[in-house]
This record gives sequence, structure tokens and C-alpha cells, in this order.
Amino acid sequence: MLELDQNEVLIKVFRKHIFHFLTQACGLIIVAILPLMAYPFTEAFLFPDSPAKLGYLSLFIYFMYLMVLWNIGFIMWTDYYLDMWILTDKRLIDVEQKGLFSREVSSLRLDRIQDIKLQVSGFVQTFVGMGSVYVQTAGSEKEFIIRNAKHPEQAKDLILAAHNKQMEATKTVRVETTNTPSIPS
Amino acid sequence: MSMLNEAQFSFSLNEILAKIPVSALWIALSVFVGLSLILGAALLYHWNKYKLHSPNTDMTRIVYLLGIFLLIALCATSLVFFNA
Repeated sequence: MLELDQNEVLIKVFRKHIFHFLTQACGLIIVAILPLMAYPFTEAFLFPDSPAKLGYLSLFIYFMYLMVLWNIGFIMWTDYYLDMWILTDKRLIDVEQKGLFSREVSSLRLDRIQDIKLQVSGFVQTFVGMGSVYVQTAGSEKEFIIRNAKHPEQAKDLILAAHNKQMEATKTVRVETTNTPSIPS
Repeated sequence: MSMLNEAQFSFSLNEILAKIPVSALWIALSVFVGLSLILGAALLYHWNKYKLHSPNTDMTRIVYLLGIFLLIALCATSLVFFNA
């Protein structure tokens, strides 16, 4: 679990759209059903004069296959579930889960943001409200990309608003610093 | 000559499957179950460590464990019937 600084306020947690996971899950379901659909057609070639007992062996192999797919499905879900972007009043944190044992957490100070680009491409993304938000930074730091995010417009607006607020706060501090009367020596 | 080659190299899936000893299938199942349990433990560790909203995590944990134990039971049952 990530821990924020003491006076850091959490604004929003962005996640990938559930549709992205569902498309992967549908692919997995098709892969799971495929042997069942193919079995009646291939049975005659594979087991031309087979005793009924071999049917149980086929079932055993199929259930083991399902066990592998079940685990793959939940690895996909973990990947979906643990990928997130956390916006606070000071920074944007990118948490990226890569497989089961690799995790990358990087954070970007809001005042380093230079440009925010929103990309919604295609009918499906427009229809389900999914898109990518590209956050470009000053300097040669890596570009922050919120891929397949849910409500990308809202994500962009919130990041922009937090960035503007942060910049205003920085300016205010500078003005206050310059206006402070100097103590005569 | 060609008839001889066909006789030598043709094979039947039935024969191959019939040659697999049941004990080997039980060992294969044990290996699969062991690997699945290790993977399941890793998944549960991740969900517990990084959870942000627990109701979803709890439901996922229940569904995952139910599914994996059901599949293990089905594998074992089909092996028992195969062996009978």
C-alpha cells in the first residue's frame, strides 16, 4: 500500500476501464470453450475405436487446461486491479504492475507537468468512455501515460486543475517571499 | 518397403494414451496442484498487500479459491473414473 506524505491530499485514483479487462477475459473464455466445440469433430480422428474410459482422460486433460486458464485469468485481473494512477495535490503517482513479481512506482511533481494530451480513438473507446491520457513533463523524464483509463476527460481536467492550483500556490509563495520586509541591520 | 515404413511409423493416439500409467497422471496432477497453489499464494499476497478497496478483493479471493478447488476436485474425480 502506498503512503502519501503527511500534508499531501489525495484527489483521485484513476484505474483502467473494466472494458479493457473484459475484452481480455472474453478472449480467455473463447480459448476455454474452443476444445469443447472442437471435440465432437476431432473425436473421430483422435480416438477412432476408443473405449469410453478414454473420455475421462480427455476430461482430466481439459480440467487441467482450465486450471491453467483460470490462473492466467486471475493474473490478468491482478494486473488490471493493481495498475493505477494516484493524483494528489502535489504529485501524480503511476503504479504499474508487470506480471506477478514486477512492480514499478514512479511519481511526478505537478509543477513539472508541461502538457497533457487526451486520446480517445475508435468507436469502442468513444462508446464505452475509455481513453489514454499523456502527461508530458519538463526535461528528459519519462512521459506519464494513463492507458485505457476510465473517464479520460475527467482525468485530464482533474490533473490540469491540480497542476494549475499547484502553480498558483508556487507563485503565491514567491510573491510573499519577495514582499517580506527586510530587517534593517 | 513403403508398407513397412507405414507400419513402423504410424501410431494411434489410443495406444499412446493407454500406455500412460495412472500413477504418472496422479503425479502430473500433483505438480499442477502444487504450482497452482504457489501461484494462488502469490496472488493472495498481492491482493492483501496492495488492496485499496477490500470488498472487491474479498470477493475475488472467494471466487478464485472456489474455482481452483473445484477444478482440482474435477481433475481428481475424472482420474478416479479413468482408473476404475
